[in-house]
Amino acid sequence: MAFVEFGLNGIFLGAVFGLLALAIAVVWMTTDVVDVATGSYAAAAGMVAVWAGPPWGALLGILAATALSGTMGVIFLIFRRLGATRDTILIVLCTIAYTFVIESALQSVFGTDNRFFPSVPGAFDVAGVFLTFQGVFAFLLAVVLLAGLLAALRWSPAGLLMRASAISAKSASLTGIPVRRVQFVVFLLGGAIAGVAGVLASMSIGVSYSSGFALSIVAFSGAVVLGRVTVSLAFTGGLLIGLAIALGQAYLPQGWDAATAPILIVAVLCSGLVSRDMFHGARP
Amino acid sequence: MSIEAGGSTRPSLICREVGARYGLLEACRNISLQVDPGEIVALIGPNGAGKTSLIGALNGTVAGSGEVLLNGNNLMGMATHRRSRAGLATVPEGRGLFPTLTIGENLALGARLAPSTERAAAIEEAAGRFGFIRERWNTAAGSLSGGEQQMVAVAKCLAGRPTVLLLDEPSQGLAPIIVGELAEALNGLRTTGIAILLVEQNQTLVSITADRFVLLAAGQVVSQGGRAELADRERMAMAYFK
Amino acid sequence: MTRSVRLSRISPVLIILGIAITLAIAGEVRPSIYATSVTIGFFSLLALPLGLLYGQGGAISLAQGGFAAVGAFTTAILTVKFGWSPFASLVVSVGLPAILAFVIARPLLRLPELSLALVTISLVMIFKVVFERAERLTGGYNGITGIAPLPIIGVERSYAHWTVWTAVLIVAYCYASYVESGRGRALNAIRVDRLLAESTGTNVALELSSLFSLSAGIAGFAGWFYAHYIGFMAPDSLDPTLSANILFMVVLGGRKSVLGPIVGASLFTLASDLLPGTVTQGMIFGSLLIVILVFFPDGIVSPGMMRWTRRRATTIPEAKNTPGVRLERA
Repeated sequence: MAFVEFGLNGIFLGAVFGLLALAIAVVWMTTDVVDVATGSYAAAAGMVAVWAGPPWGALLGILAATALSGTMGVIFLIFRRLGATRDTILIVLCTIAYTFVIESALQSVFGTDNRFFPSVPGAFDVAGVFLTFQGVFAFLLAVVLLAGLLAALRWSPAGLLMRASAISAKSASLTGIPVRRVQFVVFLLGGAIAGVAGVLASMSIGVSYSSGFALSIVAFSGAVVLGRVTVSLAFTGGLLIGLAIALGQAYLPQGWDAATAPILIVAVLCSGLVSRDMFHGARP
Repeated sequence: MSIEAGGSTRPSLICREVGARYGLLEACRNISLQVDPGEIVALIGPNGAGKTSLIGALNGTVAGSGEVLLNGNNLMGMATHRRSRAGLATVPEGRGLFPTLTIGENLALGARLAPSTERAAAIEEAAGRFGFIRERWNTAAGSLSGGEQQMVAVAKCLAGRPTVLLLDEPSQGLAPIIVGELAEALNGLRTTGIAILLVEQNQTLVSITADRFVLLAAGQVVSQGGRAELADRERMAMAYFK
Repeated sequence: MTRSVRLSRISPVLIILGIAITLAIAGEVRPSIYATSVTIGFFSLLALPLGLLYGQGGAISLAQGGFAAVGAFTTAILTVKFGWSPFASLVVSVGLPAILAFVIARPLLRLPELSLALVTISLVMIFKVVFERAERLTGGYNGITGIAPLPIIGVERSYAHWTVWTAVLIVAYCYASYVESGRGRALNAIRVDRLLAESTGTNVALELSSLFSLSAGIAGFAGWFYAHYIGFMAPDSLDPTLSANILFMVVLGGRKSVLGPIVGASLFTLASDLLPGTVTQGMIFGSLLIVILVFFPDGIVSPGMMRWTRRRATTIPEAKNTPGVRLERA
């Protein structure tokens, strides 16, 4: 029973990672950039939400995350405008530098404490398995968001543009699609999703100024762990990472669970499971 | 130069002293040509003559210089997607389809360039030109044969109601019989008034479709003329520039 | 021809020697400058081999700081817990990261850049968890204190300065010679076209693995030096941020030249000394990084800016003695 309980709570925790992995994956697929600052957008959203308090703090936090990722989007556009053939790794380094900026800003404004947004109160018991309403709420919200995103990508005209831009930026611009604008919108979308994840994180595990980088690494491991990078696989990967971390916390000596995500990244990427194409700047 | 074709007196595409370069490398320069509505002009020449680079300079995927006039508007300097919106459609090398999207989605994306009230009709018309498209509407474009992909690529461009269509090596990798079908389809486009600039190495396709030819070698125009002169001139030129 | 080749090999080394002498003279006048110069030298030792690996071989690594930490912990454990002499532990401090790097290099270096960056940064995070958790050996979060100073060099700053800068000079000379050599040219071909390099008979995998292992070994040496100079080593001393910063030094300084990483290391050290406050530093620093990455993606010492930097690199301005990322004995 304990195993089931740890497992379910892990999956509930994984909902946060799943959303973050999703945010990384959509930006990655459309722009070729792994946005290392994604976790920092989440941390910022959580901190702002806690600062402004319920209920509107949550919304404000998500807006803050979106504004931050939008700024990254602008940096990306300037970078591309100055040289279309430049090495993508440089913009990834920019996102690492941007992580430093956000961490430092959060620390100067909000201090160093781990902060919590009021969680959904209460818990219940199903056949001896003890679960919190907060966990169920986070999981359901994440699944609803995922379903909404998948539906929008599948059926809306904007979704079609995003899918086309992700397949080939060159073909898309020859088809008259303003690819750069689509990419910018995807940065905003990624930030908003990360923002939701950040608020959810602040309701359960709490967020601090320095949570961002670790969250990004966990989320990235979720995005790649299933081998192919797609929206739904990234989300599922995030859930599995949550599960792995929760079981690690339960059964590994204290503190070793922090190694779960990096070990998975090394294992998955070195085994060549993820197609090389994902890492190649396919952009012209 | 003939200006009666297609019933219009205004040329659709005029290139004035167009050049293309990759960094310091100049691929072609000083190329002036024009394509009238309903006309098919073939751009021919040996490998490395700068044909594909010229197409790139026209649609904005390669850095270009000079003037590209489309119905009087200069496109040079505009972003690629704006040139497409202005009416310059391209079927690039490799066809430019979205292989994991369905044929229907590919056409829908192409039709975004047509005025919104005409989109449905434009898709209908473009799809109608190639019999198989309707039947395989929900098939992923990447699962089609090379010839079918080429036709879907053309249909995708047509759905956007372009003024000018640039076709880069449409016959590449296709069986001769398919090339014949393609030629038929291109000839069928003459009545729509679209101006077509066709880059092609395949002599059969050129000889049954092109109204005129422009011969490029070493990045410059070396000769041009009507269909009648094509056979001799090309044979001579190919031998000369080999 | 031969003359110019030899000159191009020697001139960066001479410039670095000039920097070292200038810093030493300044240090004699104002001792606090020695602290800055030792820090610059330490960072240069980490950044130079990465410059070779990335700028010439096209293989990125965010693990330099991690390998330095392995070297530092190795010597800390061996000297403090097992009573080894620092020179005996030097062998292990250099050898362990080098062997570790060589073993993991094969699957790693096949990876494309972006993936390699993420894998190496994950490695550093794994190292950190191990340092924090293997408490009996590493002292956990508290780390290991009381690491003995090196014999002769001790805690004397000018000796430390010359030790670390001599190492930098040797590495720079080897780097410059390697680039001029046939193997160096072959390596450069890897960056441009790996398949082509392989088809010309270069053993790409072995060449890159050796370089990766060599840069880890040099990082291990730097870590060894660090541990004995500071006298204290904890998981947070050389953390993942350092690894990222080392890569930034290489990219900003100029990844294609010998001098680039050293210029990058100097700018980083000076920036962290001169920028106000520690909390807000990240904002200014990060923004500067972004601006430079976006507007000067080839870094400061790119071929076109060579002349400009030569003037600049020899006249590094004096630094104030403020807290920041610097090497001073605890």
